[in-house]
Formats: sequence, structure tokens, C-alpha cells
Amino acid sequence: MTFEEKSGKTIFRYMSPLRATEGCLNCHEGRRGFTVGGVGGGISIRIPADALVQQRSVNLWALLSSLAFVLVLFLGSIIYLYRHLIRNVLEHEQSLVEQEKLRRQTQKQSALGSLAGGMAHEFNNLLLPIMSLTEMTLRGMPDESRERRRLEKVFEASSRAKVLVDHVMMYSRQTETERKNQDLRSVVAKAMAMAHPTMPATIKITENLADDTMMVFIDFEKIETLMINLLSNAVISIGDKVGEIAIGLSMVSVEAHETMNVNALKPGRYGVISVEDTGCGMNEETLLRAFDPFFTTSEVGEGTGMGLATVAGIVTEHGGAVGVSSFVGKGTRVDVYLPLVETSD
Amino acid sequence: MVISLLITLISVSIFLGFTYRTDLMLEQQLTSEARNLYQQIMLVRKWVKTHEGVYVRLPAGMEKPTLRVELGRKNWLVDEDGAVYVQRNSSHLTKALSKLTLTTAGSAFRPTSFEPLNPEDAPDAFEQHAL
Repeated sequence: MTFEEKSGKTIFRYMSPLRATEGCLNCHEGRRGFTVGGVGGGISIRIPADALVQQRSVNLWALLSSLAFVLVLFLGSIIYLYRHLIRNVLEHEQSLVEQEKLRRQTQKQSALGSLAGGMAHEFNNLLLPIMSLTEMTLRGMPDESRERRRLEKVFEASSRAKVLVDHVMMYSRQTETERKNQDLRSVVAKAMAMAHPTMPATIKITENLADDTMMVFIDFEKIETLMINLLSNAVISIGDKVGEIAIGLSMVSVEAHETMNVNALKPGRYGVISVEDTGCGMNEETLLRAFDPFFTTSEVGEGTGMGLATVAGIVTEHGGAVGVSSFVGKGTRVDVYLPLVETSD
Repeated sequence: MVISLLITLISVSIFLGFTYRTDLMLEQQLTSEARNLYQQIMLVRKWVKTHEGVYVRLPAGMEKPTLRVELGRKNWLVDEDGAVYVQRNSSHLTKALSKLTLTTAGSAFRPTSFEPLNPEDAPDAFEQHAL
């Protein structure tokens, strides 16, 4: 059997033998194959088979269409998975890098904190008799004497040293705390009311405090110190130029772990104090060291380098985190996240 | 990715299998049809041979074939009305039926042999190969 194309039509061909009988030999004797029982000829059958060809064609188109569809689906899946995978890998790598950076930063802060805290404690013990004895001696001295002026300078320098020691101790979290539940909005408002009169006239202060009640478990004095340090940094960053400092207070919900410049945020609700200035900003290198104690870009004598380090210490003590974004020549924004106390209402 | 690949392979296998099975079924159907036709031809030939041929009346006006005496028997008969009946053997019948099928659009057949009496029955390439 076979298939044959003829005049555009498909023919199925089939051949069966005809065995010669004695009767056949009357006419065909001597011809090839014509012996009794031999195959001298056959019946050749032709059956139109266009239906088969059409069916084949339909099947082929169905197959090709289906294959094309599946291929598109397959390639689409691969592209989707590839992009998804790449994104996940990149995000994971980024997350690991940030976690490693944070881990190093935390280790460094911890080591520095222990060192600085120990020294500050000892220094504080030394300062205490110096200041108290100087103050006692001053009480019995005439007002206009040269010795009194000298001792007043000693007392003034000691006081400045005490402030510095306090900052270091705050950074290393060696100070006593008196924490209680307070509304963050009123805390920020009070801190702003105290800081506002000391701001240079060339700097415009804008406030955008959310009306929500945000209960936080904090030490008011430390949060006040934190605010003063942030504002002080912003003022130094703007310098003598005309600038603007925007103070913000908002509430955010964090859904997943998020690495910040200081600490990482756990899922939960936070009150966020934002201080944004239009100052000189920081480059990446400076930003990396911004929270190191005694690191400063100010001239000698202009800054202690304990501003942001103290902020980091206070925020860590309160279970929060700090995020900083800065652009050279454009300004800096510092966001302080403080965990909200979940109230029953 | 593995699932997509698996779906692709399964789909391709199903369609290839479906196509192969359809082709096979149609081929089997055509073969079966051809065998049936062959069987019918062979039955008719056997019946004719059993009766050592049949006599068929020549239609009026049809040219008479060669009338001869074979093995002491005439291969024709004439009835009382003068109508002529010619003896036809299985080969004649096969050839006559073959000519009829060739005029229709459906299945057709023809006898063929290595060295046919009639040159028209010479085998083509396929038939030659089959023989």
C-alpha cells in the first residue's frame, strides 16, 4: 500500500495478488508468472484519500497553534520567573549587604560606646570634685578679684566638660532614665518651643505635626536632647546662609523588617520625628561615619562630634531606629522612629 | 520553569500521539476498505469460475466480439429470438467491472500483470514493485 498524489488529489493505493489457475493458462500460458499457483498479476485498487490529507492538515495546524500557544506561555513563564528571581536575588543581596553594614555599625557603636562610656564615667568622677570644690571656693572669694575670675573660668570649662561627658554617657546609655508614656506630639511641641527662640533669624522653621495621638514610652529629657541635637546639626549645616528647617511628626506602620542607618525596624507602628534642612548635606563617606562619636566635619572647637552619636544612643535605648538621607548641596533629612505604645482603644 | 517545561512536553506528546493515531486509524480504514473490495472481486471471480464462465447478452447494436470455438465448445449462444449471448470468464468480468469503477468518483480497481494481453493493463511503477 502507498499514497499517491495525482492532479492535486491524494489516492490510497493497494495491491493484492491474483494466483494463476489452470483456466488462466488458456490465454496466458508462457507469460511471466503464469504457472499454476504462481503470481502472474494482481488487482490494483485506488481509493480517494483527500479526507486523510485534510485531517492531517487540520491536525498539523492544531498542533502548530497549540505549540505556539504553549511556547508563548512557556517563554512568558520563563521571563516572568527570571525577572522575579533576579529581583529577589538582588533584593536579598541588597538586604544582606545592609544587614552586614548595620551589624558592623552596631558592633562599632557598641565598642565605642563601651570605651567612651567607661572613660566618661571615670572622667565624670574626676569632674565632680573639681566642680564642687571650685564652686565652694568661689563662694568665699571677693567679687572682683583676679583669683575669682580665674576660678570662674575653671568652673565654666568644667561645666562644658560635664555637658560633654553627659553626652558621651547618653551615647553609651549609662545615664539613668525616667521613662513614662507620653504623647509624642506634645513632647515634640514642647521641645520645639524651647529650641525655637535660639534659632538664627536667617533660618525659617516650618512644622508639620500630625494631629494623631502617638503614645510613646520615653524619657522626655532625652527626647528633648535628641531634638536639640538634630536642630543644632541642621543649623550648623545651613551655616550663615538663608535656609529652612522642616520639622515633621507622623505615624507609620512597618510591615516587614527594614534596615535603617541606625538599627533595623521591626514590624509595628512608629511615631516618626523628621528634621529636614536645606544645608550643605553629606557625601556617602561622611554619612557612613555620621553616627560615630567625636566624628565631625566642623572646624576644631565648633562641634563636639557627639550630636548624632547621642541621637543614636537615645534612639537605641528607646527601641527605635534612625534613617538618614542626604544630598551634597541640597540638604539632609533625619527620620527618628520611636515605637508606639499599643493602647487599648 | 520545570512545570512549564513539563506542560510543553506533555502537550507536544499528546498532539503528536493524537496526529499519529489519527493517521494510523485512517490508513487502517482505507486498507480495510481496499481488502473488502478485493474480497468481493475474488468472490465474484470464484463464482464465475465455478460455473466455467457466464453468458451475457450482447446489447442491440453492439459490435459482436470474436466468436470462436474453445475446447470444442462455442463461446457464444443464439436464442430463438436471434439474440446473441457471449461467454465471459472471470478475467472478462474483472475487466468489465474495472471499467465501470473507473467512471465513478469513488474507489476503483483494475487487473494488471507482468505481461498483459491488453497493453492497457501494463503495471505502473507501484504495481510493478508490488508484483
